[in-house]
Amino acid sequence: MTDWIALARARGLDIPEQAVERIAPSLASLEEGFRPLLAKLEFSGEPAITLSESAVLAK
Amino acid sequence: MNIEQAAAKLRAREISAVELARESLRIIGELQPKLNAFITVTSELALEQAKRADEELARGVDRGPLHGIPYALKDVFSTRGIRTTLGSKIFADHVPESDCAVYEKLTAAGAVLMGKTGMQEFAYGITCNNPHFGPIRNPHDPERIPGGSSGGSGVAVAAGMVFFAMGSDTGGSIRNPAAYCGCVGLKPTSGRVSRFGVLPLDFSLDHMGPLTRTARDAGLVLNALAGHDERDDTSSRQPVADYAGSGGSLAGRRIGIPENFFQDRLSPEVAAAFQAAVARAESAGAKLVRFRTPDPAEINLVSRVILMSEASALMEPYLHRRDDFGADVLALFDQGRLLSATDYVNAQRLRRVMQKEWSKVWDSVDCLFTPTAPIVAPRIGESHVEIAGAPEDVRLASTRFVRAFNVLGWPAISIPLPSAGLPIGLQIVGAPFAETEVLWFGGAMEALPSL
Repeated sequence: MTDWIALARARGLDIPEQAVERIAPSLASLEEGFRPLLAKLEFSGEPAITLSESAVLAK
Repeated sequence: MNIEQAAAKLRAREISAVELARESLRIIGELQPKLNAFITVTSELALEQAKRADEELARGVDRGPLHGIPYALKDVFSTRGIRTTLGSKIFADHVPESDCAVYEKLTAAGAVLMGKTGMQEFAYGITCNNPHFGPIRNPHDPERIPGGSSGGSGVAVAAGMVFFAMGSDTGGSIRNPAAYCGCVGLKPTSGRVSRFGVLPLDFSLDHMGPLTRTARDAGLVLNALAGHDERDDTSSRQPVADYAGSGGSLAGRRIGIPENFFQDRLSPEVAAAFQAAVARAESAGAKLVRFRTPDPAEINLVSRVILMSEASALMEPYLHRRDDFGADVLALFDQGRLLSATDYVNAQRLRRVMQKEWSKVWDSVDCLFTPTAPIVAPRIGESHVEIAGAPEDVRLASTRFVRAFNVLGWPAISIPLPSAGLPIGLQIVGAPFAETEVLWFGGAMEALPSL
């Protein structure tokens, strides 16, 4: 289980500890639901983000 | 009166655009102190644009059905010289130097801008209990929220201040206020309406669309907005259609009724209104196809990871000004900062997997019907509501049935259902770029007796 307070501190985020404590249950619940979904991913599955034509052509 | 009726009166010279604008300003003046729908009212500009609309019509210049029609823009749409706040203290004095594509197109269509509507701070949430501009109030019960984040737009349309208003929808922010305020709200397919010049919340999930009084009105507005815009990388080159078609029978049309998830944990009044609508469609000859969708709870998790990651990345330069944010949105931005880059990329990979899984739905149905929200508008200040005996977070409950369709990018509309009490919305979802279908079904349901 992720220690969100330690994580915020390690990343140098300016989020007060009390604020992290308040959001920790929501993050933990999100993490608990999200992690098992990764089993759906195939190794070569690409993200639904595409490099735009205009970015390729940008001068 | 709806857009179509007002447009007919304008052309018959029964009313002028200036008279319509003055009446709109009168209603705004009367209701704004009670409902707080607007952040900025553009009275002078409105009368100027209305005068020009009348002069053009007199000269035989007719820009179409929106010519001379009063409307409003949510305060995310950039308007040159008019402050565009995102409902925030951070952007409270932001005055754009150029117009967004939506405003350009509506101006070209001759519509008359009455002002910029209030919203959830940064469009991030659904209560519209805005700490900087005050709470926006539901016209059906001012002690209740209008829904959001396009709450001011929903109120402005439902209370008769304007004929239509534009909203943005990242996880239901057009459809939810439409459901809670009792008007129509259309989220078009991803890429259908240009996002150029709109202050974003989330690059992957933001959609722009109208809130109106009827489905046909939503089609008339979409007719003015749809089309490719090379200034928006996500803008689609799919051909546009006439979105304002109407008439026809539901007989034989296949309506998908998901039996999982979308029927779970509904308030009794929403369950009754939804079942009555389904029964009415069936008695009009529609073929009901009851089936199970892939799990929307999973797609909602993907939506949250993408939204929180992108929104926090966007706001990173401002997040050191913690006192300038409302507590609710700051908590969401903080959560996004604690997610990992790996989680974000994997959420986008899952999005593609889920788009493929869900696309099979269209083998057997022409549209989907679901409730827009499982509850009616909660009271201002409530953070949780009790549904079927269990407490649920107001934001998560309100967006439970809508946010999947932002991840999928599919078009979806909310239309009001008959209700003896507070408004209740029916969500109609279509295949990608099938806005004509979604609007047609919306119009067909509106036309049924007692709807």
